[in-house]
Amino acid sequence: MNELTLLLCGKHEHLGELSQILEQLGNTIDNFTPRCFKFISENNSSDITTFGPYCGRTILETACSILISRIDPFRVLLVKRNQEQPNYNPAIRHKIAIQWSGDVITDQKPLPLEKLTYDKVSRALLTDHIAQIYWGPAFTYLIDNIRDSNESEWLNELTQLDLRNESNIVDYFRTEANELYSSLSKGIHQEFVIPQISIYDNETIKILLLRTICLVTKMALVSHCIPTISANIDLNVCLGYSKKIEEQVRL
Amino acid sequence: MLEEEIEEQGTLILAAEDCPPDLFKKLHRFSQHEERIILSLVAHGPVLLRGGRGSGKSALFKEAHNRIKEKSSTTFSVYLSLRNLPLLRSQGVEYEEKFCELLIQSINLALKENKKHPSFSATPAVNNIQQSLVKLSSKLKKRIVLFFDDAAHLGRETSLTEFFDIFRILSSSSISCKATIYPGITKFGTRFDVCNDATVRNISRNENSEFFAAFFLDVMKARYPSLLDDNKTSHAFDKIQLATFLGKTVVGNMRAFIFICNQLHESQKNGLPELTRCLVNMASDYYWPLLEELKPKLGIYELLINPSIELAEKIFDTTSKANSTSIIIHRELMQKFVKPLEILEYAGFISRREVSIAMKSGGRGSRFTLNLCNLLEITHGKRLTSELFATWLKEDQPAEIHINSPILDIKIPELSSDKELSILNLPIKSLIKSKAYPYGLTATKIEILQKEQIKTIGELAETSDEQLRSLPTIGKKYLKRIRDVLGQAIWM
Repeated sequence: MNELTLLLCGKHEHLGELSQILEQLGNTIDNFTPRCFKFISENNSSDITTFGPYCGRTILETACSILISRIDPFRVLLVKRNQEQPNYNPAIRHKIAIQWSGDVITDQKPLPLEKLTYDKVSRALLTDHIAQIYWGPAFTYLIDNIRDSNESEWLNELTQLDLRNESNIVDYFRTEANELYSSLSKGIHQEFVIPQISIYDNETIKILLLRTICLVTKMALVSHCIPTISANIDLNVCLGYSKKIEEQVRL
Repeated sequence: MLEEEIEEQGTLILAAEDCPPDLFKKLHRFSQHEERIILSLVAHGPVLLRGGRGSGKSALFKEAHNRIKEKSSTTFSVYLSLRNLPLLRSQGVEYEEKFCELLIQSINLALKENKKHPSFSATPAVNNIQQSLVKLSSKLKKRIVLFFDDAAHLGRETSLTEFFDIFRILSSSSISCKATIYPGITKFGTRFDVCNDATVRNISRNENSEFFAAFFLDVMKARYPSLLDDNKTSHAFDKIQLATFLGKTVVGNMRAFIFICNQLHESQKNGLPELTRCLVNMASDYYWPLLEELKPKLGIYELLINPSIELAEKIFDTTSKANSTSIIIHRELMQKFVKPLEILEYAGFISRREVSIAMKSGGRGSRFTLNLCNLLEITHGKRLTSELFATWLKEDQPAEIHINSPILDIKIPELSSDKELSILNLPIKSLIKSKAYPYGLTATKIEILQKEQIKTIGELAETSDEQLRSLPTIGKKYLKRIRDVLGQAIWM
């Protein structure tokens, strides 16, 4: 398993069905990450414009699914149950499946706590309520504990984010994730009816892939500072993985 | 060119915009962090590149522009420096017209340089230019990158609104805009959303980064190889330690690094006494004069220079007493002193490392690392000993200024809503050779200009090259010196 897989999936050996899910999702990351690193480090790769966006989006979506699995195992266990049904038909769309809109981000405006009922709480990965409970405190813990081992450019970027409060880390994750999802999707959905080779050229795909790896690494790092999350690993181990990932995407 | 000649040239070139193209590659080095920035500048998508004065923004823009010109078959780029006095003085529709005229000229220059046909024509209106650029992109079968350097002027925030409107309108699926901004720029107008309309990249050279030492050593090897001569280097430290220390001394700022290396270059040796001299000189001849130089350029923030000086003195004093090289300031105090801190950061006195960090005294604050020149200036004895050298190289416990501290009892004056830049109305004798303007004008030349009824800096800036060259003793070389010192005086 490569460092990104280890960082995203964490220590999951004894988590029953969740272990199986993380193993499965981790295999996808393992499969696509080396290709992604190759695209980033090579100059003038002939396949980057054809396969790069697909690689990037797969990593982004799978990484988010892994984080959802660890924060909210019930969600993915439901999906697993559905997929295990004898009459499960992969040819049709299943509403219970993890969706970008609804499970990662949402258009739902967060209500203040005093007006909230449980059925109106969005459990999407990058919502304000999840930020208040999980991401904000985890980010605060991370930035307070990395100073002595902070040789990483990516960690420096995190510590220099100008956020009004620590929960706003989710705004940074959300904006970056949305932009990457949208840009990478255009590269694979064949919606262009005029040539776009000059827009999705080597440099542009490279920077999208680099930003994707950077984002999912940062999100994974923060996730391990959520005390109630599954498959936690020690922060120093996480920092080691993060450093190795950063080294592998050197230009 | 011989290595000695390159080194000689390197000592004279402080800014990327002054560097001739043939020397640019020889003198400039880029860390891994900067390579990623360059990639984002070359790639499609709007980018704002943020960094203080002398941090290397223009160098990164020029490098990205050069790489596109040399290597890219899918991209056409245009570099435009917005150091233009009529533009600086205009606003509203007038700003848009002048901006568009400059842009049209630059596009045609780039097409000519690249031997590309056709030429570019458009009326000087943003929407028209945007449409014409899309057509040009289609004709060239390339996406277009527009580099706008020096767009932001800290004291003139009204024109920023206009600039960012133009930035947003020009950006499209085949046109990417990139612009350099300063850390103090927070007003982007009502129509530009900095989170969604651009990606912000910060230039940051953190002394804890694994690339820090190697990067500055690389720069020294490229520009000042004689400084690394074994016969010159002291036994008190090795070359890596010297490069790291010098980089940390100037909080990673490239222009200040060049300045301090220039000073060291004049010494026979690189020992602790020589370093002491350089650091103390930098404090008195570079950092403090820089604040005075800045004052008339800050527009509505001009009144904040004196509080900024007071703030700097207190920050450095507190940090020195704590035997540290960095300080955490409580976030509520950050709110009160936001602009003076931005001014100090812009001038290179301090550099923010962490925006939010827990304080021992309670609460959270931002941690700043301090330049070691001003720190040595107030250290007892003003002497860099081997113990101090070793201590300052290491990570240390930061000093703290907590919310209830009386230290920062500094009055911040009320600011007016608009103010002209005083620099343009200052007499030309302000440009005389001094600590603020080490390459300033001589008394004789000032007299010559005054006799020609060129009395103010604004008038000098508006006088044409031909008119200046026609004056006695002002040849091509001195004309360049006049333009360089004007550039330093007027622009950030």
